[in-house]
Order: sequence, then C-alpha cells, then structure tokens
Amino acid sequence: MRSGVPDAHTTTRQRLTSLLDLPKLYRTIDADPAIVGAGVVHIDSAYQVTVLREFVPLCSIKPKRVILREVAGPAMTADQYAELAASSPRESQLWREASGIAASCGGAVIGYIVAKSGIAAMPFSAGASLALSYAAYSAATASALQCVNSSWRVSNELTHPAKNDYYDSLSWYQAMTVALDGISLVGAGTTTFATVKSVMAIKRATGRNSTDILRLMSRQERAKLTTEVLRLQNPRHPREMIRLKQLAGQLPKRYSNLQLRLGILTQIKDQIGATLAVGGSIYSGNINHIVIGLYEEFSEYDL
Amino acid sequence: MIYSVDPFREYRIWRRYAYRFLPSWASALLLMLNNIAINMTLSLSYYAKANHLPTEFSFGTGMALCLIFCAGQIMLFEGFHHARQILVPIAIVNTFLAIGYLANQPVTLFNLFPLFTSLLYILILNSKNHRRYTSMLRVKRRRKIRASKPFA
Repeated sequence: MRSGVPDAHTTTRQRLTSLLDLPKLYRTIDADPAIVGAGVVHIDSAYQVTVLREFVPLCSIKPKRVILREVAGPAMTADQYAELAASSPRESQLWREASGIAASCGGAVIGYIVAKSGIAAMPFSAGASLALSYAAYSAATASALQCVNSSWRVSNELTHPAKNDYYDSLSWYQAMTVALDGISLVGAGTTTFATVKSVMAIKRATGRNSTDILRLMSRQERAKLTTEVLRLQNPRHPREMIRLKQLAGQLPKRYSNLQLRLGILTQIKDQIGATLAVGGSIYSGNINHIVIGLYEEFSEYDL
Repeated sequence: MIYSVDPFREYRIWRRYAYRFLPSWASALLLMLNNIAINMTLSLSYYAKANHLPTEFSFGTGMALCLIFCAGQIMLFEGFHHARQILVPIAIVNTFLAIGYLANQPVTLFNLFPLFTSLLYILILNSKNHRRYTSMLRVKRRRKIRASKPFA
C-alpha cells in the first residue's frame, strides 16, 4: 500500500534504513563520551548528502559529525581518506575515470574478438557458441558505449568537472549506466556459465582437481572427456547413437591435447573480458565500499 | 550433427589474423570511440549551447553516433559490403564537427585532437592492412553463403 509520500523523498532514507542498523549506530556513537550527540551524515557515491541525525551539543559546542561516505573506487586506508577529506573540497576523479576507460575500452576490443572467435569454443560450449556470439556482440556494443561514456567523462573532468556531477544526478543517466553495466555483465555471465560447464565436464570425466585441468591428459582420459562433451552436446541422442556416429567418423572419438588446451585458452580469454566487464561495473558504482569519517572543527591545530 | 570444425585449425587461423590485423583494427576502433567522446565534450556541447538546446542533446547525439558506429563495426566483422558506407560517413561527420568547432575556438592541442583522430581513422580505414582484412571477411561471408546454398 502506498503511503502518499512522494517516492523521491523517501527512497534514499529507506535504502539507508534497510542497509544500516541506525539505532545501533546511534547507540555506539553516544556510548563514546568524545562524540556523544555527534551528527550523522551519509554521502553516497553520487555526492548526494543525507543528514541522518542532527548534531546535539553534548560532547562539545562545536559541531562534530560522523560521515558515512560511499566510495566507488578502490578501498583506501583511514589515514588516506582523512587526508583526502581534509584537503579537497571536490575530489578529482581523473584517475578513476581513466581506469574506467581502460576497463571499458579493453572490454570492448576483447568483446568483439570473442564475438568473432566464439566459434573456436564450439566443442566445449555444447553448441551454444552461436548464441554466445550474439550475447558477445551485445556485450561488446555495451562496452563500446561505456568506453565512449568513460572517455567523455575524462574529457569533462579535464574541462568541466561540474558537468560530470550534473550527469551523475540525472536519473536517466544513472539508469542508462546501470543498463549498460547489466548488458556487459550478461555477456560476462554467459562466458562464466560456459567456463563453469567446461570445468565441470573435465572434472566429471577425469576426476581431477580444478587446479589440475591444464595438465596434459592421457588417451583414456581424453576419450572419456570426449564422450562426456558429446553427451552434453546431444542431450536427446541415446548413448548408442553417439557411439555409432563416432564409429562412422561423424563425431570425434577423442579430442587431441591441443584441441583441449585451445578450448581452455579460449575460455580464459573470455574470462579476461568478463573480468574487465565486472571491474568496470565496480568502478561505475554498482558495487561500493563505504568509508566512515569523523568531522570536527578545532580552534587551534595541535598534534 | 557432423563434426566439421577443427578448433585447433580455427585457433591458428585466428592467431595469424590477430597478429596481422589486430593492431590496425583495434586502433581504428579505439580512435573512433575516443573521437566521438571528445566531440561530445567539445563541439556537440558547443553547438547545443549555441542553439539553446539542453546539454543532454550532445550526449544523446554522441551515443547515437556511437551506436551507428558499432552497427557498422559488427557489419564489417560479419563481412557485409555496406559496412564501409556506414563507417566512412560517421568519420566524415566527426571531421566536420571538429572543423566547425575549431572555426570558432582557439586552436589548442586538445581542440585539435578530434580532428587528428578522425583523419587518422580515415587513413587507417583506407590502409592496405585494413582493406586486406575487410576483403578477407567479405570473401569468408561469400563462401559461407555459397556453401549454404543447395546445388543448382
């Protein structure tokens, strides 16, 4: 049932209430005599500030605030963050955006290559290579759009940094970024699915550990693996029919070690592209770290 | 199901092609993507401001250019003959955008960058290496079509 309160006013606070145990946080703050009554402020990765609790002058007259800050980039130490918070009014995001370029543009190039050479993964992907190629084309296009977006943000960061902040506050832009991330991640997901399937097939056929699958296989192991892969590729065919086709030379009796290694190498290549896609998503803000800072004014600087 | 693809042979072909054509193809792709992005920052936003349009206009136009470019790139990969007729006009549009911006702005290295990149893209697209690559893809596509046709 809707409360009648506009969504925009409640969503941020609702999200924070669901993420954090606010009463426990307030109790913990008030238990420390140095910061009892300190205000609590949340700053999300888009620099949207939400005051969760106002400062009450109990511990000192000058305001003290506990700052909960979502950081979209890599995690940093407390000292690094304190230095950053004290020195810069608006953090320069140049390096963050530049790393976004590297991830998304690299992902676009690898994505197109994977889409083009998807046929090379055919023996392992159980006939899904063609579908994999279409998914890879979509993922590569999404990565190309992300590449343009990242390059644009870097040049904005150099010329008009405020424009990036403006676009970060637009809902359609946020939705578009999430959608592009999603499409890239679907590409990464299909790749991961194919990889897991291959590893499971090898493990089932040879009984080896996951760390041992790159070692060369014996003739018997390769024959067993080939039968396993063919069974996966032809789920509706009886085992006898597959055997007859193998004898007739229409299906391979056993893959060579080179063919197997090629399949695994193609999967590794796909996984590099997938890792870049996931890395790009972490940078763009779908997975965030949170940093807690304490803001306090001092009348004089003493160590 | 007839097992007719030798993956190792495919891989060796792919590796040979990659060593030979990847530098020109990948550099062309990255040049064009960066060119569109910088045109979005400079000339498109300048034109949007000059025509009293919102800045979202420049972003939307840039993204549309990028989508058309990606479509052309996929067509090129699949060996379509008309891919060039999509990619070249995109490069020409970007060149004109860069020239138009330079006509009204100081000639700095940053402002010259989109013009250089778009001209370099046209140069790479017309290089012997890239032409060879696209012609191979076209032949591959023709062979595939011919193989799928029943015997007359």
